[in-house]
Amino acid sequence: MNQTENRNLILEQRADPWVYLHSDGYYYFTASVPEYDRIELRRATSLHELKDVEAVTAWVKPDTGPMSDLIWAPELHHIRGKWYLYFAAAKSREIVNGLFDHRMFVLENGSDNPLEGEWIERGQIETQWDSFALDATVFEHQDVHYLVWAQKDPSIEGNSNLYIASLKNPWTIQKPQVMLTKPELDWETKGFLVNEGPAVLKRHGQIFITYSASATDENYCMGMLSASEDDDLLNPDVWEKSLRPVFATNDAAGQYGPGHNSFTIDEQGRDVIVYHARTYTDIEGDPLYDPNRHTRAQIFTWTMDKQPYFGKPT
Amino acid sequence: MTETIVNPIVEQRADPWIMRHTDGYYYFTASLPDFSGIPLRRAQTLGELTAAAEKVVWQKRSTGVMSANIWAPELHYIQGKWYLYFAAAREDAIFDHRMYVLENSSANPLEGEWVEKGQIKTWKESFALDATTFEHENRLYYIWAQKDPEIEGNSNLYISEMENPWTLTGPQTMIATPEHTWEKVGFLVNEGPAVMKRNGHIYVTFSASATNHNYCVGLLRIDEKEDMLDSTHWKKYPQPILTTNESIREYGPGHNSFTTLADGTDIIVYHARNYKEIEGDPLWDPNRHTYIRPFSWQGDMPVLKKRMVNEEVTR
Repeated sequence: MNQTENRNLILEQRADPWVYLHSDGYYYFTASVPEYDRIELRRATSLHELKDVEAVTAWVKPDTGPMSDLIWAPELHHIRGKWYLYFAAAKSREIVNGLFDHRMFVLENGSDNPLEGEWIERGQIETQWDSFALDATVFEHQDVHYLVWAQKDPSIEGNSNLYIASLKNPWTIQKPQVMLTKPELDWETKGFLVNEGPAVLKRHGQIFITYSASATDENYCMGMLSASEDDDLLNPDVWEKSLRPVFATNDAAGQYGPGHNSFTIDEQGRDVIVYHARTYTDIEGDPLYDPNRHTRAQIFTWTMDKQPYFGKPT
Repeated sequence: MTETIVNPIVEQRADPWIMRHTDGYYYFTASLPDFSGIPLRRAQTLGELTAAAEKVVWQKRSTGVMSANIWAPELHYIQGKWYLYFAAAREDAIFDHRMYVLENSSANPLEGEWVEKGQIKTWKESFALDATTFEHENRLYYIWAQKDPEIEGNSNLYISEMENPWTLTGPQTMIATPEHTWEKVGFLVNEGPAVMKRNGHIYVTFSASATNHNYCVGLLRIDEKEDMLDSTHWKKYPQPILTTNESIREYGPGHNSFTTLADGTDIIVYHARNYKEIEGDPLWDPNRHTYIRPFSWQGDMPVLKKRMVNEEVTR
């Protein structure tokens, strides 16, 4: 078990991990840091070297204002020649109507290497409601860029649902936004009603969106949506939702609450899921302030009907 | 009590399947040389299988599905009933096999009625054969060989859970494909899976390459705690565990099954020829005989005893 432990562990105490393999051959990595006070970036030529390289602080939260606390789930994207960091931030740790008060923001960097150069604040992504919004991700399909994110709809019970919209530019969506999924199945509603952390995978003529569900303790798990690449991705009816979680706690291996994943490929071109999980279930206080969500990665394969098969976290 | 085993224990029976049931009998089935039906025999010792009366419990149909090349039957006892898994083609397409299953609710499978439960449907209609089943943690699994049009070669190995003994359920994943040199001589083949649980692992042997003297047996394994459908956990041994051995005149050993002696000794059951040169297609050469050999374990590695001829074993 120790061998497995070492093989799949990428970084300790980094949650909501995001890995992006760029055309320059580097794996770029960012994640939520336990202090939630900054955005870290690092890069390496293999996933396992990420723990050996120095992290660069790309951005630090200001002391006051709408981006002054709880910096969550940054993602690095390369769009039409520039680098963008998407992240969520709140103005304080205050809980309003049972929720934190995050909004989504974007930074831009024109350097070749995003660990260098200057990050310019492109501001908040405006959506349909001024409500709790987080976990933005971007993907390109047939020359259109899409934003997928989690947000509270004031008229729907629970913390957040997933939405999609096309992008007019990297920080502006084309309204209206369309809901893809809301927490409704038993495994999406444990502790909290949550759909968040979307991650996009394009393969075999299909577009898959995995997401995370339930409270961020051992109930945290991953669901999946899929659509054909020929479908209108802004039509919610084309998205099929998996009725069971596709990745969940594995007691036998001591991996609890896996989720908030991203996708990449390893140096041999094999598909890899990158996720965080804890190694224990006894969390003192709010799981959010327990720092031990570690970044892990494992290879996954495909079923004969061309669905990704993630197995169990090990 | 001991008895003398004379190899081959059954002549002209290929793809041999032996299972030791709770009633104390060893049940034996195999491919007939003319591939016309499913033979069954039983005996209280392995040695007695040689002379035990054989009954053909099911015969191929004259036309349509299941009308040609009845291959590699296996007898399983699942949830209180007997099942015969086999592959069959059609007389108008004699190498286009699909997998089928028969059911018998008698206590003794040599008696009673075998009911056709139909084709086992998989992810695709393509050449499919050599089904086997096993139970693990109260789930029933199915492993088989099948052609994937997107993969070069004859067949790969797949796994699925079963909803019942004739229906697969949930995802189907590939656990082995011919990749090493010894799996690709003549044809690219992984077939004939056989399951054995030992040492906290589930082992699956399989046969590789053309069915002449290049035929051989490889080995996969997975930790019994892992997800059986997660192919990343299935490990293939880089070398075959059983190959042609000219010094004992066993050519093209393969398509094995497993059983045990009364004292618990592990036994591998396989077919082989006792000559190398075959006239025409190896498939129509009837002399694949059934052999058995004890084996032991050195760590993770099964170590086969050298050839067993006229040897006394515990009954």
